[in-house]
Amino acid sequence: MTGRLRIEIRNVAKSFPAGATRIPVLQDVNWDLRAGAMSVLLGASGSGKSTLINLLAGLDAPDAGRIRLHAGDETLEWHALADRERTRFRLRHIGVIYQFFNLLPSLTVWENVMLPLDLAGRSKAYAERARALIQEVGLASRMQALPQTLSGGEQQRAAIVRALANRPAIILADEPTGNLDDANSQAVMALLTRLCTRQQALLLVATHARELAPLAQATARLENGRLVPAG
Amino acid sequence: MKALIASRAFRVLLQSQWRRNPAFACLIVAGVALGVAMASSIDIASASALKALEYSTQTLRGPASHVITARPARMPWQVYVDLRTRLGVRNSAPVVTDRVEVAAGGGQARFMTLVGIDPMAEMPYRSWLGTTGSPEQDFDRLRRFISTPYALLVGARTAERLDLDVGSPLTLTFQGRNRTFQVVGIAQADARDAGRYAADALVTDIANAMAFLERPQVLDRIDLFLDPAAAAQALPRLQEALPAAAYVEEASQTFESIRRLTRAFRINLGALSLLAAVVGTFLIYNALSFNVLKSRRALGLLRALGMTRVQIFALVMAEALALGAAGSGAGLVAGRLLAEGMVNLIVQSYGDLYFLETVRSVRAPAWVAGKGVLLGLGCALLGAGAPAWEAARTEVAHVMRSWGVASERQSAWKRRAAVGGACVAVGGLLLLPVFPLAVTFGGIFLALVGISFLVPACLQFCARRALQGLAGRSAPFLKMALRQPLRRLDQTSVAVAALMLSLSVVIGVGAMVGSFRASVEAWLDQVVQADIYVAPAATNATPFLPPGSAPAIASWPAVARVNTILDTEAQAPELGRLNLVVLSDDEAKFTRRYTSRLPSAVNLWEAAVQQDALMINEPMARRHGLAAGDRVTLVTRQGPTSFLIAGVFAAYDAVPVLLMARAVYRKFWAAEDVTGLSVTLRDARRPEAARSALAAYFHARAWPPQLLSNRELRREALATFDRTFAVTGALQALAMCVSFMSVLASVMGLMLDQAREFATLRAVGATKFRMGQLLVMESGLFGLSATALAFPVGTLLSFVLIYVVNVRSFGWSLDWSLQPLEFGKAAAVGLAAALLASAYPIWHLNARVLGQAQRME
Repeated sequence: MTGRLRIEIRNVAKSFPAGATRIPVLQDVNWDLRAGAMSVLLGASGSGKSTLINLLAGLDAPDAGRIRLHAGDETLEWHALADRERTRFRLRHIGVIYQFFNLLPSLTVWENVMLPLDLAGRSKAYAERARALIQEVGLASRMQALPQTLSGGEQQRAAIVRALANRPAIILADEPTGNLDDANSQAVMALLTRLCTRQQALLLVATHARELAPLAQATARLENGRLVPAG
Repeated sequence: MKALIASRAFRVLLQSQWRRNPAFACLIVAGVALGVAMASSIDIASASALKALEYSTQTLRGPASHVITARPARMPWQVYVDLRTRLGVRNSAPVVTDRVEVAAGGGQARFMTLVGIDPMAEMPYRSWLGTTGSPEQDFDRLRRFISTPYALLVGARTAERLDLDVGSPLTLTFQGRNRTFQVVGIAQADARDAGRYAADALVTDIANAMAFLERPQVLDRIDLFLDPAAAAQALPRLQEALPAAAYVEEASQTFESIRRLTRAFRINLGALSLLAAVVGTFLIYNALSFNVLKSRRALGLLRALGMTRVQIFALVMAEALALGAAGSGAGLVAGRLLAEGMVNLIVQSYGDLYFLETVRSVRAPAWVAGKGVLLGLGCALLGAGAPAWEAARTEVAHVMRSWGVASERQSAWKRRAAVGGACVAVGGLLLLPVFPLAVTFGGIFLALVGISFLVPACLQFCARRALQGLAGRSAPFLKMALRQPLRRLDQTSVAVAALMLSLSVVIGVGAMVGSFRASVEAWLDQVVQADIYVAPAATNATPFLPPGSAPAIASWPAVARVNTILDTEAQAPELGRLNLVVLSDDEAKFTRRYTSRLPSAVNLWEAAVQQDALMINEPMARRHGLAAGDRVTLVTRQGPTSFLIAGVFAAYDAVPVLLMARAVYRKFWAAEDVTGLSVTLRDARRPEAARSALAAYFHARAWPPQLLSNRELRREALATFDRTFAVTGALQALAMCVSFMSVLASVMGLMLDQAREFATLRAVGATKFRMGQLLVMESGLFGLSATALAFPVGTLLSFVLIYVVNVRSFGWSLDWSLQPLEFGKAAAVGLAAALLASAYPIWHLNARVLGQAQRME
């Protein structure tokens, strides 16, 4: 995709089965997200933040409503794509960061970072950039270490590098600091915003931490499955 | 503890395990069920077959205490007359019997046993006819049995199966001849067992049987009804007075001989079934071990809530017991079904409808169910012990900090390798011939378990070497697949060991049977040298060839050589009755393989003739500890005579056999009887003309022959061999099932354990296809490593089976030949099982992984 990216979320609803009934998690969600800006999605635990992140990452499809990706003159009906196309798009254009890092325990830090590049068949230039990113986040000496030997902060930094390695246009972070102490949280958020700004990516951070809201250009809150302006 | 187990909380916890991991619960149940099914099916099959054999022996002989039979000839009627008149043994009954064909429905002809009796002689001792409750009706039935032409009495079950009623006609076939009998009674066993003897046979008057079978004035046996005191007094005198070829023996002796003959075969099958139980235990260990790993956080929580280590241990063990009980139940049901198939395989060479029906009708003995349940529960407890201990050791603080499900405990693989090495060494020692057969099997088990303990070290070594080779290369999926065994060494190595054991059985048993077959083929090449073999047909009243046949046939222009054969028995005072084969000349004297022979003899056959010596077969040598140079005493016309053993020849008979030159036999028995000929033709390419001439020659002398060409004889022998070992094919198939189960258990375990990693991979951008590739790679490597380990282990197993077990069980020397086909089969099974086993996880992964991803956070 080329051109400035925008995500358009219209009337999105999602529910999950619970026995004979379904529990609505998202109802009539409307939002516009723009590249080059950091957006923060606030909400308490269980409010549906992760569900919305999953819908945007293409890990799940909405029950109703539309999600469109606009880039210049191009428009992608994201919600209507088949799993295969969504996966391919995600590989090249979306990076996801999780609360629990989710590094693959049987791969070293370097192999974890290289994994999306290998899957996408990227050139050596990407690998060199990934190496530079690792150095930038202070993990150069831990490249051959297995994830379980790293601290939480180190693991999250490695996860951020993995998410950015493919130079994605969209970065979705689900409680990226939820498992870190204050010092590490601040360091990770600073790193994330710096890297995203540098590559003009669309960054959406889902969090329950209100203190992250001032860092964002756009903020919204999920309450009972509905999106309301953050106040 | 009791309070805990009875408590509602305990029950809820147990149920929650089932609910949380139904797939694992099913795998544990299946693992136990497979082991129990395999063991109990073999137990049921062999117990039923033996029981049926015992029952049939009793049924057809009833309360007879002794039986007089003759070999190789049948007895003339005069023997019975002399017995009753001259010797005064009046409590005796003559019997004529043979297998005949009946139409069993659906156009199929099956065999049943026709028994010809003398109802008047039988009456005081056993009632074939049964009772109706009314003396008048009983008398009427007896009258009809005697007076109706070709009257037949059938058992109730036979009547039901063949849809017969009193008055129904039933056509029997014997040697191509048909005769329609009339059913005059249906025997029902009453409370006193009267009529029971006819339950599984077709009973007719002895005169009808003689006429139909065309054996006038010839008896198959004479049953005696002697009480122990009378028997002790009468038997020596009786044996003395009987003709040379007739013997009196206890009625139960036949069954005992069969029991002895089949013992080694049953032990071998039983050992294989126990091996399946060992593999089942591994499966249980593996599944429970994964389960404990997955439950570590929950177990830590339970500890935090106040459960003691003992209670945690009890919880895991109780879970295993419950699953073991379910598996045992399922295994017993499956075992019963499998047993039917196995019985068919075991007795298919018998081909007797009544025998098969009897086997099926025999209820499995209670001990089989008891043993199955004990085996299932034992396997479950044994397999659960280590995981339960691991669960009880759970450190609360540690697991509550950790979110991972993978084993964080460093596997004590070095210690296990040391234990494994010790087990292999001790197991190897137990294979020494000084120990009994059961200990030998114990040694094999111990060695196999020891080799299983070496698997973690092997995996560690191979995976590390492969990873070293991949260093610096971009192959993330292959690296992931290679590091899995290292991350979960305990579980993976147990699963690999289980698959390795199953595949080793496929290779070992296959190589053993293949080597055996190759040895039999080579043996047939050595000993079957003539072009046509003549033997008496079953219809012959006498097995002895018409006098003068051999020289007459030898004079034919097409015939190069004729050797005479006498298949008879000899009495050895210390060893009992022995089979004796007398040959005019050993056509295989230059090719026969001797495992022990007199050192001085160049042509052993000629040397034996000159020294009045004989040869014995290997089973006899091994059973009685004899070798060339030893002596064996036989009762001849000259009284007990000691014979030198000139050699021990390799043969695949199940029973001891003596081989003697006719010149020697003539000298000590003064008899010229001949029961068979081996005919060598001048032109072996055209045996048909000679065969026709031989048939015409013997038919003209009212002695129908059974003629077998060299090729037919070999084919028959090999067909019998294949039928005998068909059951091992079934066991191999079961071993393959176990292989599949072990791979499935392992791959499913890996998949459940890696669900989070798979979800991450999908989130990063791996397509379903790439995920499938990863799983295929992981399970393929799993199958590959198990197959690679199974090759040497299976080879060793086949070596032990051939050179230790077979020799100890049957006394046969086999040539060990590795069978490439068996290795190919094992490799195909291992890899196919691995790839097939990954099919479900791939489907499951694609269906569920995104849901997992959603729940990840």
